[in-house]
Amino acid sequence: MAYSNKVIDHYQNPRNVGSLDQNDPQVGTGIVGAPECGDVMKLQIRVDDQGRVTDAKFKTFGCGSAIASSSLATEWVKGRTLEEAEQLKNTEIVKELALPPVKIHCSVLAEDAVRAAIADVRRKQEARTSAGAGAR
Amino acid sequence: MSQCVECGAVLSVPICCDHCGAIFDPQPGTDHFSLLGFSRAYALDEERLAQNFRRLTAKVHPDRHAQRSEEVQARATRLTADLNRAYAVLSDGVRRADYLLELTGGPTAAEERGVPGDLLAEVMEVREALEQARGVGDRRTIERLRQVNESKRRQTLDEIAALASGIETASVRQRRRLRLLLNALRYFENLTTELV
Repeated sequence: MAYSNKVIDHYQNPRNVGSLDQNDPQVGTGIVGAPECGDVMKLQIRVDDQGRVTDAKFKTFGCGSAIASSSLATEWVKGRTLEEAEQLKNTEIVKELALPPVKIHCSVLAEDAVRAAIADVRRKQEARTSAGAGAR
Repeated sequence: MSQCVECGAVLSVPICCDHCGAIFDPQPGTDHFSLLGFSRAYALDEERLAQNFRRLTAKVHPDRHAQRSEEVQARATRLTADLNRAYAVLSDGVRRADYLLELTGGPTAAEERGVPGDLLAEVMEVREALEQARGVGDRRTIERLRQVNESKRRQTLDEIAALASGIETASVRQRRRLRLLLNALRYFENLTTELV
């Protein structure tokens, strides 16, 4: 099966590979996996006080489509608010990368990772807010 | 046990008659176990499984029915494929456990995609440690990671076998646990191929 040029581009020159500090209260981490292929994906976002994603990093151990999907996802969420980032649909990734049907689960994985990272940073924010309220 | 529609002999397996050699399409809902002459259980005599497979494959082989009607020839081809599929699943302990779990009500792989505990985070840590160790050529760390992964993989296989053996009386929680372990196995196996 041939990969599309966009998949190959993201695979050969992945954007935003790396890690952010998982313990940073402004960083949300999503780690997801696809049991059918054993791929694992970590996607992290840094959110400023206005709730905007200022940075995103990923590490994916899996096939070219999984790497390309997560690379694209980090590009897309940067600069968006959490509410906007939450709207990211795997179908947009499928379209942009021209993924074949057997690789659609890779795009689902990237969407899941974004959602998990958002949920994680929200949990941290809420914990901080309630801790702050308790201190007052 | 049902009878052969052609000679009336009692059928020991649902797809062919030992007496006259006629072959039949299995009834809808025939599972891999009964196709190969077994009852639905995880524990099975692998020797006998292989024997049954060889015997039945010979009986339904398309060459053996080449002089029969087109319908029978098509059936022979279908049954050969059915037997191959059933044997591939039942002769592999993990696939057998997975199949048995689905057959008795799941959760299926599509219904439950989770893994036990923080496994994904652990796998990610191993991957990162491996990446680093490879970068500096640290063979000892790679070997240590390999040993840890191998022991976890074996533990998972043992627990899968234990849970699958008791599937008839397993609780909802145990059934879910079995699915989580089957999912986990894929991650361990991927690591096995990486950690060399």
